[in-house]
Amino acid sequence: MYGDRMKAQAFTLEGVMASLLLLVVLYSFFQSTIVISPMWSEITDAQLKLIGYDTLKVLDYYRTSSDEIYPNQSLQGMIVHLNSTFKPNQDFIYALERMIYLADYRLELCWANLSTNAVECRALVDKKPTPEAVAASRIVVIDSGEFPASSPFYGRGYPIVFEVRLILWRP
Amino acid sequence: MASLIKDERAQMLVFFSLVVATILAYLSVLHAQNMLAGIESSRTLMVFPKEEIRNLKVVGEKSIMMFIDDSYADFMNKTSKISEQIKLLYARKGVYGDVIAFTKSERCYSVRITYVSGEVEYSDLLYCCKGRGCV
Amino acid sequence: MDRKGRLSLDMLIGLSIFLVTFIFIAQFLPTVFADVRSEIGLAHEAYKVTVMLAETEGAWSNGTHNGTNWEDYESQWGDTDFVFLPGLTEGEPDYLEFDKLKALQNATENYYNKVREMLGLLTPDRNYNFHVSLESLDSKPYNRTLVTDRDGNVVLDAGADIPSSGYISRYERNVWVNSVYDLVGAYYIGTAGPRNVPNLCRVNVDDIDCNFTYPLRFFAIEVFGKENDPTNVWWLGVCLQKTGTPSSCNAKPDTIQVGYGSPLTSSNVKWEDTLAVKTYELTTILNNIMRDEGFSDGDTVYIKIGIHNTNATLYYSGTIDYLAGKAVAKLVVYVW
Repeated sequence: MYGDRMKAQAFTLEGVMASLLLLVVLYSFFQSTIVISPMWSEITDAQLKLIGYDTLKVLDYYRTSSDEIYPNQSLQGMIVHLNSTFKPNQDFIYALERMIYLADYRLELCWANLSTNAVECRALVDKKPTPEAVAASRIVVIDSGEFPASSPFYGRGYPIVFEVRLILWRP
Repeated sequence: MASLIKDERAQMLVFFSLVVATILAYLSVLHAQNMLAGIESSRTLMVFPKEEIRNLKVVGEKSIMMFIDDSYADFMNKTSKISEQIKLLYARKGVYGDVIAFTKSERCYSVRITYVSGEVEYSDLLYCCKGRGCV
Repeated sequence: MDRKGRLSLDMLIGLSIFLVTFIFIAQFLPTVFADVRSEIGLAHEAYKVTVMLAETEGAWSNGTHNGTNWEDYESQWGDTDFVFLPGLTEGEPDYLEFDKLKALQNATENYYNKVREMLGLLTPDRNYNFHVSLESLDSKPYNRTLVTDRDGNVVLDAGADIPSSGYISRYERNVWVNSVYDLVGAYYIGTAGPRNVPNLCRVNVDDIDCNFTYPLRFFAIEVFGKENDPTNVWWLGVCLQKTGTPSSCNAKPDTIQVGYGSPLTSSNVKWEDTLAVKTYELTTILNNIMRDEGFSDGDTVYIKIGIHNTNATLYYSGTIDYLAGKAVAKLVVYVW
């Protein structure tokens, strides 16, 4: 009788155990954030990357004749008017921030130094990106004659190729 | 305690759930792979250097056109400098990228665009004329 | 006492708990896979649609002829042997053509299923809905600002109604539109003929008062010449104020002046130029003045345009941005 009474709950107990086991396995394997999260960030990444490339493309200004001046808001206009502090003009920052709307950003400018065969870079807007940040870049060519005497690129004597790097992330 | 475990019939439930749990584990691997496949394909979508190649074409079409009115020697000198700088800038990313112009006539020039990375090899020859664009 | 034939209550409870869980899991599993598949699928479809729209010129074919100007064949869009891809660009990615935007609006309104088919959203085994619109740069998903053309009509807002819940994939592209003047309103503000002004403005005898919102998106004045007697003086003044309508805005003779406050004096003029026959692109100039005066987004700005003996047109848009010499907006695609 003693044994009978004790075994009376064996099925219920083990049924509960079995269900718990299944649920725990299910939850830990499928719902764990490690598996789900990369996909979401990848989708926002794709969107941010598109915005980055589009923004640089919109700001790239192709001249139709050499007497046309580059607008302040264009990539070329911004680079031409840089001085030794490497601070982009306000009009450019305004245009850039209008377009990347709500995202945080870092802006870098790189150019090749032909005498040392090295690439030099300067951060124009220096903020620290998060690990999820994405980068977009664009190459622009500016003739040496465009730079005023105050520019660090004045008097090179040949057209200079710049790479503008825009790093975007969600704040 | 041994006296308590008289009936072992119910353990089949636990065994069975263990079997199902194994199947679930296997399925979760499938699930993760499914996700990774999605991530991978959207990554290749994004990693494919479509924008870079287009950018190089724009340099070949629009930027080099700025020097079309220069003398032959000046044009060649300037465009070879452009090519050198582009090669350096791309080398930093582990990519061979180049835009090199050759055979300039009065109003037209040819330009070769190259982009070679681990995944992609792209090369194109454009013939550009002032006021008419490139083909 | 034969107890073997009876099932114990214990066994019933145990088995039923187990079975309930098991059935729940069996039902739950397929949905996990389906969700993942459809989410990834949706993002891809939306991305594909943005690429087709924002990066291709489009194409059409009726079996014998083909081309890229699908927007010119409105009468044939419905024909079964006429196929077209409604790309929107001028041949360069992100550089959209106004006529194609308008055409996409018409095509989607009248032949929604055909457009879905052409975009690859409606095949025998897939069925997605989409919505596409041209919105201002600061438009938000929950509070959309649609771009309007020079007559004040919405340029592009087509497709099925966006559902308020469920999986929706949304992609934005920054684009610029050709031509700028299809999108900005042209208002005659000269002194020679009847004036027509944006509906946020009032016409007085010698000047025009407007209440706009900071930041201004597009504000340019094109000067055609003097009104009548070429020997008379002419001038054009633009005055900004944060509160209250500026009292007067008379500029110096033969000049165009922009100032903060009124009336214009040598101390509050922020920008000036000799008045000539040309287009004055004032958007950035005005925005910079307001930024320096501490305006923040959404503030009302009171503007008075003083004009004397001058034929001129004001180009103004409250929805499209003028940045780096381009009319910039964003193309937004929803797929679900």
